[in-house]
Parts: sequence; C-alpha cells; structure tokens
Amino acid sequence: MSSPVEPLVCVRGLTKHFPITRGIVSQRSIGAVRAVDDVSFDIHRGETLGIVGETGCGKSTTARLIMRLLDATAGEIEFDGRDITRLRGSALKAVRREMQMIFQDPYSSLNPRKTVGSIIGEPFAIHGLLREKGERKREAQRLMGTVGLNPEHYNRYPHEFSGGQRQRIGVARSLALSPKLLIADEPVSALDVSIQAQVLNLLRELQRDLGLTLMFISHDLSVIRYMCDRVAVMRSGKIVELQDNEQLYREPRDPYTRQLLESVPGVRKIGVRSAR
Amino acid sequence: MIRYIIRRLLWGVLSLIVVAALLFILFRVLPTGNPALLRAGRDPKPKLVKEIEVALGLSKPLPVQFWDYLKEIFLHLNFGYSYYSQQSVRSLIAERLPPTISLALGAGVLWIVAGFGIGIVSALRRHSLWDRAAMGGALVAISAPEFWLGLVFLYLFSSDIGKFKLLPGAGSYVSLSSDPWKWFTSLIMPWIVLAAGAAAIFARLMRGSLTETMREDYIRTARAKGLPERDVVRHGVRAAVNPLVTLFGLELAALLGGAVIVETVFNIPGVGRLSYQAIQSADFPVIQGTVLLAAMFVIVANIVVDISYAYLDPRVRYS
Amino acid sequence: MTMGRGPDEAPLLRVEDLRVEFVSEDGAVHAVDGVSYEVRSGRTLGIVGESGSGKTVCSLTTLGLTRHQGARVSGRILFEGQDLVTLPEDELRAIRGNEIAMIFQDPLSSLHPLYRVGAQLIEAVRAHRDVSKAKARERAIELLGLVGISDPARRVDDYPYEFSGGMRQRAMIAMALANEPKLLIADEPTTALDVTVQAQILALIERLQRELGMAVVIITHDLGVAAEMADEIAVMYAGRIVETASAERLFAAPEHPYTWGLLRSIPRLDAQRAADLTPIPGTPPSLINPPSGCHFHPRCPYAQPDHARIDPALEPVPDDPSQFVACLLETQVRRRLWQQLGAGDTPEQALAAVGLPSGDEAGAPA
Repeated sequence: MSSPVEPLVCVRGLTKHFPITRGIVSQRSIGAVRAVDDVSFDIHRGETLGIVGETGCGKSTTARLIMRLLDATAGEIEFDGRDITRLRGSALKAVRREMQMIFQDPYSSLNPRKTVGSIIGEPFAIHGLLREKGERKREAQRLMGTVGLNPEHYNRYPHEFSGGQRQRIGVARSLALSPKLLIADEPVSALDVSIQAQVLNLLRELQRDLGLTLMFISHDLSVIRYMCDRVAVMRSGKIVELQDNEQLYREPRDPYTRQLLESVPGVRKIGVRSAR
Repeated sequence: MIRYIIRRLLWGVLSLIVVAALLFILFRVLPTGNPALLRAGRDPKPKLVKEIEVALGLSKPLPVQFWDYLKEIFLHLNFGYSYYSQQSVRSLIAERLPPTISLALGAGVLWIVAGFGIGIVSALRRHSLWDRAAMGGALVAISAPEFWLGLVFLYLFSSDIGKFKLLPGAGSYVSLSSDPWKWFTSLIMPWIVLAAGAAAIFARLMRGSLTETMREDYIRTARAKGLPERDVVRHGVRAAVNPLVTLFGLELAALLGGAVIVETVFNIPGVGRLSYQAIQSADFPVIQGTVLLAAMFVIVANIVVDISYAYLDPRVRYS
Repeated sequence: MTMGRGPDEAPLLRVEDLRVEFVSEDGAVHAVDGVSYEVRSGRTLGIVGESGSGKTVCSLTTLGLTRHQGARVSGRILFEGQDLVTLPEDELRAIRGNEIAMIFQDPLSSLHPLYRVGAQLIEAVRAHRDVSKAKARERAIELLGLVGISDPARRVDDYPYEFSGGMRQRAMIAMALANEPKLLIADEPTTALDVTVQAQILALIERLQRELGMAVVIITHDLGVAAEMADEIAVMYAGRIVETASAERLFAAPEHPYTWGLLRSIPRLDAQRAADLTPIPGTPPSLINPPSGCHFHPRCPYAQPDHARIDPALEPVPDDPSQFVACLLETQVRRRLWQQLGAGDTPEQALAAVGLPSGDEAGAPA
C-alpha cells in the first residue's frame, strides 16, 4: 500500500512514437511521429494538474497513455504505487476502475441508442458490480443528482439533452466507479460560453467534495488558470514548463509559455478573456 | 505512387494466377467427364481416347499438368483449342472482342451522360415533379430485367418484327469498318437496354451525392464570392463525382467481360454470347479463356480506378 | 441610431429592424428578431453572442446567403443606399465578394478540397473583374503575399489540404480581399485555430483593415476577441441585440444583465483562482418558442413580473448616447446592481441591497 504522501500518478520518460512506413511488398519503418517525447511529471493526490498546449502538442496522447488506451513506446507509468505500463488483461481492467476520462465532444461521446440511465450504469455492468435488482438504477439516479441532472430523466436519450447536460452525463458516468483519478480532455471546449462555467464549477465542486485527483487538458489558458493547481505546458511532445499556477501566469519562464500568454486575445487591451 | 502501382500490378498478376488455378481445379473436378472423351467426339474408341489423353497431357501427374497449364497461359497466351470448333481460343476471343467493346463503350457513354445529367437536375430540383418522375423512372429501369427490356424494344422498334419499324433488329450487327452507319444503328437499342439500369443507379447516386456536397461549407464560400449559380453547382458536382467514377470503372469492366444477356437477345457476336455458348456445350478451353479475360478486365479496372482516384482527390496519397 | 465617435458621415451599412425566420418541421424559427445596427467605414463592429443568438444568420442575410435556405426576411439592410433585402439576386451577386466579402469559421471545410488554392483565388477575381487568367493569377500570388504566406508563387498551386490551419485562413482572407471590399464580415475567423495562430490572424485582419480602409464586422462568441478587435460591440441574445457600446464602455460599464452574466462567468487570465465563476443559470432558449417579452427574463436574476410581457426596446443610455441597452429595469437601479456585483455581492444579495423583489428565478441548471 502506498503512503498518502506519494503522488497518485508518476510518469517517467513517457514516449509514444507512431511509425511511418514505406515499401513495395513489405512495409518497413522509415521514421516516426514523436507524439509524446520523454515526458515526466507527477500528479499529486487531490490536486488538479493542467496540461495546456496547442494542437498536436501531445496532450491528448499523454492522457490516453496514462489511461492505457494506448501502449507506450518507452517510459514508465506508475499509478497508486503500481507500475501499470505493461499491464494487461484482468489486472488492467482492475486498474481501469480507478481512473476515468471525460471527453471533449458531448455529442459523440454518448451512445445515442442508449438511455442516459444505462449509459451511467454501464460501468457497473462492465465490472460486475451492484448486481442487486434496482441497485444500479438507484446509484445512477444518485449520480445524476450529484451532477445536477434531474434523476427522473433516467429513461431519456442523449439527444433530448443540451450540450451542457450531456457533458454532465459524461461526468456522472465517469464518477460511477468512484475513481481516484479523473482525466478531463477539453471538457468544455465544445460548450457555449454561458454553460462552460456551470460545468467548470461542477468539476471544482466534485473535486472538493469527493477528494478527486484531476488531470485537466485544455488549449485555453484562462480555463486552465481557473481550474488547476499546477500547470504543464506542452509543445511538440515535450513539456516545456511545469509550474505552480500562480508562478506560471505571473512569471512564465519559457519563451513559448510567454508567447502563449501574450497571444490570448484581449489580454493586452482590457485583460478580459473569455472561455472557448 | 510508382511503388503503389507496381505493388498493385504484382498483386493483380497473382490474382490472375489464382483464378487460373481455380479454373484448373474446377475442370478436373467437375463430373462432366474426361476432357479426352469430350474431344474424342461420338462413339469414342478406348484407343482413341487414350491417344487423346496422351496428346492432351492428361496422363502426367497433376502438378506437372498445372505447371504446363500456367506456362501456356501466361507465357504463350495459349488458352487451348475449342472442343467444339477446333479453333484456337485466342483467335476466337479476338474475333468476338470488338463487338463487346463497341457495346460496352457505347453503353458507358450513354449511361454517364444520362445518369449524371438526370442526377444533377434531380438534386437541384429535389421534390419537384421532374425529380419524382426521374426517380420513379429510375426505379423502373433498375427493376426491369435486361432481357425483358430488350425484347420489349425489339417488339416495338425492330425493323423486322417491330410495331414501329425504326431500328435494325436482332442479328443485324456488323463491324464498324464494314458499314459504320449500320454498326451504329444496330447498336442503339442494345446500348439503351444496357445503359438503362446503370444510368438509373447512377442518377440516384448522383442525386444523393450532389445533395450532400451542396450542403458543404465550400458551397457557401463559392456563393459568398459572388460566383454565378452555375459555377457554384460546378463546385458541388466536382466533389460529388468522385465516388461515382470508381463505380463507373468497375461496372464498365464487368461489361467488357461480356454482357451475356444483351448480346444473346440482340444476337451480337460478342464475348458474352461466346461464353454462354461455351458453357452450354461444356467447351472448357473457351470458358477458361473468357473467364480469364473477364478477370483480367476487372483486375485492371480496379487498379485504374484506384489510381485515378488519387488524381481525382489530391488528398488521397498512396505512399 | 449612431454608434462610434467617427465623423458624422453616413454609415456604410445600416441594418434596420431585421427579422429572419426559417421554416422548420416544428414551426417557425425566429433566428433574428428585430435587430438594428450600423457599421462605419474604417471601423470594426464586434457582434458577440452564443450559439443560437442569431449573430451568424444576421450576417449571412446581409449577403443574401440565407435566400437559398428559404428564409423569410423583413426589415432593411442599407448598403450605400441600396436595400440588400429586396435587391434582385444578380445585383446582390455583383456585391458579394466584391464590395462586401465574408470569411468563415473553418477554413478547411470552407475551401473547396479538390481545387487548387490559386484556382479558387483566380475565380474570386474573375467573378468581378474582366481580366485574363494570367493577370488574375498574378493577382492571386500578390494576394497570398499580402496575407503573409511565404513563397506565394509556389504555394499558389497547392491544394488546401497542403496548407496549415493558419495558412488556410490567410488564404480565405486573401480570397475575400481579392476585389478590395469596402466591408469584410468575419464569422468566427479564429475559433478553429490555435491560440498563437489566432493572434496572428487577428493582427493580420487589423493590418489589412488599416491598409485598405475597410469596415469590419467580426462575429464571435469570444469576448476577448471582441475586446481585441472591435471599436464597437453589439451583444446578441436569442435573436435580439441586448446591448451595444464602445469596447471600452462595454467592459468598464456594461448595462445589461446578460452582459454582466457573460463577464462574470468567463475565466480571466488575471483573476484570482479562489474566486468562483458565476454561471448564468439555465440554458439558451428555443428560437421556435422564444420567451415572451424580454427574451432573457427566464435566466435573469433581476427580472420582474412584467418583464415577461413587455418587449424591451434598444434605447440609448442617458449619459452616453453611443451606448444602447434593451432592458426594462431603470438605469439607476441597474447601475446600483452593477455596483453591488462589483463589490462582491451575489446576484441575490445585489437584488436585496437594491430593494427589488426577486422575480422569476432561473430554472434547472444546464
């Protein structure tokens, strides 16, 4: 059992290459796209770590590597004291209960043919939990209430909900198994401005109440500023700066970070920034 | 790109070898008897049959026969001799190919023009009377069996038996070089019959494809640029055409292998009718020749179509 | 109604009481519900709103691009004295891409994928100018250089997919500027782009505006973009304009509760992390059955009962004739509410402090 002071997630030298192949009869590898290139960081228990960067910087790939949705080319991933880099089969499945992901697009990340109740209850079914009659439904409804949805809408379909509500469904689903780690990959980028704050506040609240550890990925610096304790800036597969939130925004060290901060529209004129 | 073409060609040759092998196995396995018996004609005496067997190389072990068989086909383009007419299969096919090509190409032109034209107009005037009539007509054309359509045409317009004696009837095909006008008029009805179903399918596909592309953002941009509407439509058609071109190539290849029904109904001496007669009389070498020919057309068409796609859509790259 | 403190010349574009309706299976969609604004030469108007606010439909209608979708349009759009709403199609076509140009959000899908970039630019030129292909091609290369694409003579023969996102948007801008338009409408031009590229594109638009003396209408959901680019800002909600003001005033002294809600619900780079965002409760309304009276009243913490009956008109603010707001609350009351909010009150607290009864509370959260 790991001590509570140890970070929840330790990533060392994480690398992911996607090979480029060529050849007439057999394909041989002539190079690789280095999506994630020797990345190392920790995520402390109870904190929100932000990963910010532009398209193609590797932030989403990093998240998928930690979730073991992709296999790393090199490096180690430690979760709750265990090395999960090469785990497979039922051992991996067990670990999967402890980490969950929320996705960017609320319109495509929910199966349109399933009711909301069954979407939220699916994690229980997959892991063989709550087999008692009606238990799953009760738990799903409880989760709906937690994220601010009406539990009576249990039997509705995703298309009957708005974008913001669908994102809440995604959050509820990710909380079903009481994971230790929640990875949110651009969770508000596809939402309207006035709804983003609702979902962001929800995440902050849940983190406080449930003691979640959160890894928050975004390209939007203002959202990262609002949500995260520490921030890692990524570029071309590498982390160029990893700092405390305050530090990063007041005294960014890396020129790329500075360039990002200066590029935010409106920041020079009025200091106001809107969420995307 | 070159690498891709070479790779496809290699695979193509391999596919043809596989087809040849299948034919070989089929003809040795089918219970229609000993090929030597068939060649021996009526009242075969055992001694004659034996002699023919040796001549045909049927006494050699199977793998050796197969190897000889492949060599003959691929290196010498020798498909054997028809059991029926003793003529070399190669020359038979060479005779019958021009009418089939005339038929296929003419039908191809007709069906592109009709299919695209009707499809485009239908897409632009969706739910109008024209659209409903065109799509309804398309449904009829697709459902109508070719032989029925062919016979109806003959019944109506054929110069010998038709109600309105407009066009030459069945059996009137002549080669292009001997009498161009007769060649042309004798093919009009077969072309229409062959093209009808395909044009109908194309019209429906074009309608769907164009409807979709006209909804794309780049159409809005084209209008915002102030382009006249016909140029805006051209933008849409250009994008809508791609999937249809590939389909066209494959269908044309199938026709080149012989449009059996139409050739039979109109009595056109093409490869299709040849293969039909060969099947009826179990004339294996001829069947073998026509099957390999058809396979070759399809394989080549597949390759051509895939390569042309890379030119039609610059985003497609074969590395 | 005048906006901006420019010289007292006639505005280049004046929209008067524009209403646009679409017919749908479920009923008429009132996308634009009585919108009026002006744009002057050389100035930039920002139209800010969320999805469903009607901001894009407004601008598409200006160019007549909603005619193909069966829109029912009423009101007037005056451009250099002509009413674009009633203008016949071929005359309107002569204006599109010529005197008024538009660029769109996603440059990858807005450029034809199967034609070369140069060809698309040449088309834009030859649609309105009688020049040879060779001359048009020269112009295309010149335009690509103007928008900052390096090696334009080679790039002109590339296909859109060979350009990066930022370059594609530059190419779209080049295409829009081909005939030196008097008005450029930019619909979310940077939303699909990375933040560093975004800054470059906005700077480019500003520079070109200065060089060509164009008027620019920039449509965005991003208040930061509006702050960066616009001289005047119009805030739209549910098909109506709720507030217009100069950019400085809008951020310093906003008058409409929706604007307050927006400003208080978006994260700021310079904010304290501990401070909570205050989201606007509820969801944007349906445009088929918009709320009666003030469209914002179901989500407005300060709404009073009769706000559900009366349509607020866009009226000038007493001490600043260039700022307009469509709100039924009295100016003094509003200002005190804003003061209270600024002092740290929640909307409920501010209401109490001002002595107003709480009207219809907001519904379930989104």
